[in-house]
Amino acid sequence: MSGTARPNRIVAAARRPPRRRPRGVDGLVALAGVCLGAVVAQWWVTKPSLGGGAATVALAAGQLAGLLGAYLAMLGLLLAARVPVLESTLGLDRLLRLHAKLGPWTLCTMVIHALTVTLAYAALAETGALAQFWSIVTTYEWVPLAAVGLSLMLVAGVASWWRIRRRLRYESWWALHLSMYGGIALAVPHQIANGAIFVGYPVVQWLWLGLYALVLGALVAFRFGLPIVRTVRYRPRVADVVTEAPGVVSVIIEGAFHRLPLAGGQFAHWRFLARGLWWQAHPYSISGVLDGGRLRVTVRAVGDHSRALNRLRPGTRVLMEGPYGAFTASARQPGRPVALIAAGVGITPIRALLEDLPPDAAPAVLYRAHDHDDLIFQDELGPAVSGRGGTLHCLVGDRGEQPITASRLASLVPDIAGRTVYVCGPPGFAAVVLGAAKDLGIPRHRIHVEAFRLHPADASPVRREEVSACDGR
Amino acid sequence: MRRALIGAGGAVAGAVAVLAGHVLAGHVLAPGAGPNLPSAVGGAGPSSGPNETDRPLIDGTATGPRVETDYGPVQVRVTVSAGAIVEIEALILPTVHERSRWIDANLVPRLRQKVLTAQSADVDVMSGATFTSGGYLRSLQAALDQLA
Ligand SMILES: Cc1cc2nc3c(=O)[nH]c(=O)nc-3n(C[C@H](O)[C@H](O)[C@H](O)COP(=O)(O)OP(=O)(O)OC[C@H]3O[C@@H](n4cnc5c(N)ncnc54)[C@H](O)[C@@H]3O)c2cc1C
Repeated sequence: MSGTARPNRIVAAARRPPRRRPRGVDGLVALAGVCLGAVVAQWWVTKPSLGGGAATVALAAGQLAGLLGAYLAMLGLLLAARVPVLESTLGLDRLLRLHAKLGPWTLCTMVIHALTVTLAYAALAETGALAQFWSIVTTYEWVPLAAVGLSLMLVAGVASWWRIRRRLRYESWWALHLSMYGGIALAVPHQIANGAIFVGYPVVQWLWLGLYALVLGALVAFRFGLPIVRTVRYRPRVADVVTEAPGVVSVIIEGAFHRLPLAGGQFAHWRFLARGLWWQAHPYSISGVLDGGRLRVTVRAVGDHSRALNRLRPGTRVLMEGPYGAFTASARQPGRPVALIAAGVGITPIRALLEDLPPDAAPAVLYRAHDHDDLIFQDELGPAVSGRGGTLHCLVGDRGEQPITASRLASLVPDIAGRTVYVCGPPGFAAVVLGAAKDLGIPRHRIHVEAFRLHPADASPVRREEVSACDGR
Repeated sequence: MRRALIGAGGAVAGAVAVLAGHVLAGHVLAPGAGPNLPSAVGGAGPSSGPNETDRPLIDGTATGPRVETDYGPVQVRVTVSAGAIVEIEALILPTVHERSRWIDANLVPRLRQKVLTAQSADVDVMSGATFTSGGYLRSLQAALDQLA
């Protein structure tokens, strides 16, 4: 480690900021709507008659549930596929939140499908439900595989339930979650072979397979292809490791980054190819672009991965997935001033975002840290803020000493109600700021939050005590 | 909110496109008038009563519409030669269910035999397989109507 001396100078953040493309998102939403309408209409035409009593109504409903389950599964996969248009416009955290919200509904529809179809056939064939279940599993084409698939999906789903997920190591959860892909794949053939909307309609079968191919293609291209291409093209390596504060280090990464689409405030998943670290990728924000196009990430030691970074040696190869995130300067409305509010190491994306603000932006920056030693980037923040005609307030102390309330915000930043607000810190902190902003009448769409967690069930590691104190309210 | 409207608009467009496709292809849009209704309502040609089958048939092959039954779709193709029904092929049968498979394997050949003997689709539906045989006979009747 090179100590606290800082030979590195921030030169810029955004070299080629990724474009927000709301029209592209609209197009994808319309496409999703067309698919949904087409599926439901095709089901309506091919469903059994509803006049045949409760059993046939249940059968029709069960078929619809199966189709909707498959549709939702594809949607969920797309949300997690890092599709660039969606990612740069909505941000990975929002997409993953939606993905997580969709999950339980998807699984419920699939379970309802299995149950109602079994019970309906049992009633039609006048057999017991269990006997019917067995006969369906053993005689329908591909249904045994689908049953295995549904079980896999249920295991993965339960692992994502926050009560369970909280207790799992991130890596264990991740491994369990992977079985979702297998589960979905196993369930595909039985739809094509047996589904009333497909039998006898080769066109529909091909279109349906085409949709799956599209989703799979997006996953392969954007989750694997793009990161590999970027890693090969940029060849990132560790250049240096610098201590910023007790327990906080900056890792400086060099590479041919001049073509990297990057905006201040974005993060990437970093995988350092060193002993004991290569098998896990962690999200860290890019806290600045240094001269020579080097990237800096700044990390607080909270667990095994973040603690090990200070032992990285220069030259270590790095794989990066990203940059991701919509917590960038392009999220503000032109002409409207901004307030940037950070707690602890949450200053990292805000540090980089500042560089993207125009010289007359007059940003108001609030930065809370537990004590003076915890304040990082002090020598950089002052010039970056004052150079843009803004004000910097460093609030030193914990939640009790430095509470963030509506009146406190208003006294520090008198015109805050008219600003676009960016918040970065642990979820508890973000929740407190969101509450205060609501009291000030700031509409939600003008507040942008980076809470350092990608799954709602994750406890943010930034300041554990703050999170637990907030949860235990 | 705006995106919800876009999605809803897309859904309507998708549904209309599919329904239009079915209409253009001449499919039956209201499935399952009930398996024991004798008359067939085919998209092809005007509907006709079963007694019209004693009119002489034109030689050729005709494919009946796909008929949805509670166990799945049924569709048959009929071949007429020298004014007589000489062959009936089941193009689609509900193979998705244990009982349906049994029906396909056992009852459909018997149904075919009955029709070939009676030279008409106006035969009794097979008890125990009312759905499948009802669909079979309705598809057949509509195919015969095309050759009437
Ligand atoms: C978008 C984003 C940007 C971030 N930026 C920064 C930053 O600039 N500086 C910084 O210090 N921290 C940042 N973090 C937090 C950082 O990712 C975690 O502190 C780090 O992954 C903890 O790993 P660990 O092994 O040290 O600790 P652990 O004790 O293993 O993990 C602590 C918690 O971190 C989360 N976590 C662990 N591994 C992962 C992973 N692979 N992917 C996602 N979450 C994981 C889980 O919620 C876990 O409960 C950011 C997080 C996100 C989501």
